[in-house]
Amino acid sequence: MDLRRLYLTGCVLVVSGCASAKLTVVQALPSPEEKVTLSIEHVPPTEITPGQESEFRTILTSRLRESGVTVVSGGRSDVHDVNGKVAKFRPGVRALRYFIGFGAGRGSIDTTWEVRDESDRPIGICQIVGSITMGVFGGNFNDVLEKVGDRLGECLRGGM
Amino acid sequence: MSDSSPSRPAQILATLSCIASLGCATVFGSTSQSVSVVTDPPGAQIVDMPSGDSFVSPADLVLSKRDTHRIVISKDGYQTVEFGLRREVAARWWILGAFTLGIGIAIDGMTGALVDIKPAEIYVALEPTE
Repeated sequence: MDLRRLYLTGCVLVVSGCASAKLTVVQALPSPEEKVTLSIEHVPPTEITPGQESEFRTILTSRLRESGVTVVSGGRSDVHDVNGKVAKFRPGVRALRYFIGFGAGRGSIDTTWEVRDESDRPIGICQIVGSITMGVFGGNFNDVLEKVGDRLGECLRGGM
Repeated sequence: MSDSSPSRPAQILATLSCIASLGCATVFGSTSQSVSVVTDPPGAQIVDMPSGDSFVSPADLVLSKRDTHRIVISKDGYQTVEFGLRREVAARWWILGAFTLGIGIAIDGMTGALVDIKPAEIYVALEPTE
């Protein structure tokens, strides 16, 4: 294998293994969202610690704001609610990703997001899955969560 | 023939200057970073660990890159939020430091300038307590 092919293969491996998230639209939103409330729940047997959930939520709200979607405090009836169900939340092991690689210590997340209107009727659904197998010193799982936030922003702002 | 070589103190000073300049990030970057925290509603108390410094949102926190920070956001009537900031090696300084045979990287690592604090902007929507 000559050097060019080796270099290209290395680039493909790095790009495919770094933090990424994929969006699948199940039900398109009728119009873009600008303000929403956000709720997150995990689907058993997925386990998320309160600290992890708090950080995930903070990361999502920050990324959504950068996407042009403002998350407001709950309890408001004048905005739509975005409810996220986390079916898989595995940060993986960074040390394994760094020292071993080849999929060892892989981090992954599997989520489904449902937008409900004021009458609690679902008006949009999207699925976002993310993963990381490599990165700088093994990569940080929070990079995946940021990608999930970016994809969610695309869902909500794009009007799907 | 006259001796035009620099004096010994000048040689020592030049050597030390070269070594110090090997810390590219320390010289050209910064050992602290500003992190913006915005909350909804505003007026929440923000406490930075480990410094214990307190702020009121919205605020720009100037944080030392040498420490790992955890911020606690609280407001009466709302659930308290804790968020850990991570320190990620900044690739640009790592690459430049490679040309210093690792000395620059070591210097930047000790000063904290080698890393960036992430995220640099935090937005939190506080949830009312039930």
